[in-house]
Amino acid sequence: MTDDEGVLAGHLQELRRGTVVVAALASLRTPGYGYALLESLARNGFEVDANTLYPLLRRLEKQGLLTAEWNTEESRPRKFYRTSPAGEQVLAALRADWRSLDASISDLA
Amino acid sequence: MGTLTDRYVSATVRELAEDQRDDVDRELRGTIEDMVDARLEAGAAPDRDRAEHDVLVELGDPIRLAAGYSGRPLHLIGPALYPEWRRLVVLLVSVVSPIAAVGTLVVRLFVDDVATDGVGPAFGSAALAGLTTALHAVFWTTLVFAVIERSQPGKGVLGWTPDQLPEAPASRRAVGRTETVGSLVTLLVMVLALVWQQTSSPVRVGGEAVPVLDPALWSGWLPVLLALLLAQGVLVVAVFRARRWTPGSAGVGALLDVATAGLLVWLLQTDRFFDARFVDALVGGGWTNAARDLTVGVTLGVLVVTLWDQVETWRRLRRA
Repeated sequence: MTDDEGVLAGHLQELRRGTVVVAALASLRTPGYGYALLESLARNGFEVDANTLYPLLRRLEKQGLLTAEWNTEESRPRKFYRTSPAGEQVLAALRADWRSLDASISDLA
Repeated sequence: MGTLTDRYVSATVRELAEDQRDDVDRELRGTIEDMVDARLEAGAAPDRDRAEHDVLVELGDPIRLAAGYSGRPLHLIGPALYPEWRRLVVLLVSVVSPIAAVGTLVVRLFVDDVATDGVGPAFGSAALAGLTTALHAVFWTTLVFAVIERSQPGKGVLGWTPDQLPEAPASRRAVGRTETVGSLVTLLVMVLALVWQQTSSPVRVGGEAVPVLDPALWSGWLPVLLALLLAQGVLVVAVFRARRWTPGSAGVGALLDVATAGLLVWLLQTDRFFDARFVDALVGGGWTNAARDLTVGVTLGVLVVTLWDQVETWRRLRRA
């Protein structure tokens, strides 16, 4: 990797850091479990590390933005997360901010 | 001994609060199985053991994963505290450690029987005291800051105000007050040491004080040495008043340094430096090679200090 690519990769990583939360809150309006969410995010272009996403889900649950319950009907018990009403509010605020950032940057250019 | 997964999960949850452990344990196991199945289905691994191994590598160090769950810091002292930690450590090491070393040296020089043991043990224990104090200062400061980091993450303690800014030299070449005072004090200590070793030497043979340096030097080279030291002092003041080193003053400084070092080394190498009775007392006290050790040691010391002085001055000249 050349230096320029390294610089770009670093800035892209910084830029995307917070977007995982937005993506997770948006996807989990349909309940899902850890690994399924990891795969669906990857399919939609959010390459998240497993060891980042799983702790993040826990933190969002602790903050009350996600609710979680165990599904034991299938052969393998799984913890399903779903965006809570508080999570919906935060998601709406984050999306509004995202759009206003995009508009501000368009104005600058 | 359990499977790799058992060991990984238990290493992770061990780091977590009691009430989190069972839940994370159960979820992490399920997740690892999901990831293993996915790898086998995709044909990314030849067998289950290999897939399990790869998945655990992907999840990474359990301490890091657990820190993600618990929100505990992955550093000893974080960015909020680091500047305060560094300022305090630098202050302690640069102030307390020299005080401990000099204090120990002075006490040992008076308490020890220099005639029998020589000055070696005194300097040795002074260096040790300085080093030990520095180690303690760094260790305890770090420990306290690490505890603070964990009790109130992300917050500073001492704070910072512009008053703490160090004095800025007028330019990068400028010569400041502190280093000028330091140089003058060093020169003064050397002059006093020359007089002191003659008038009230700590070395005694049969109850009589024996000077360290050959008294014959007083009617010859010692006045020259004192004159050179005086000239060094004048130069230090002149450089301070001009606020900077110039090629001219650096040249004069180098000449004075070389003259001083040359005189000292010549006296040492021709055995005219130390008083014979002083060396005899050391040899009699059991330091068989006192003459050679002292000559080599002091010669080396003079050369190192002289060379260092040139490097330092040259560096200051060049940093324009």
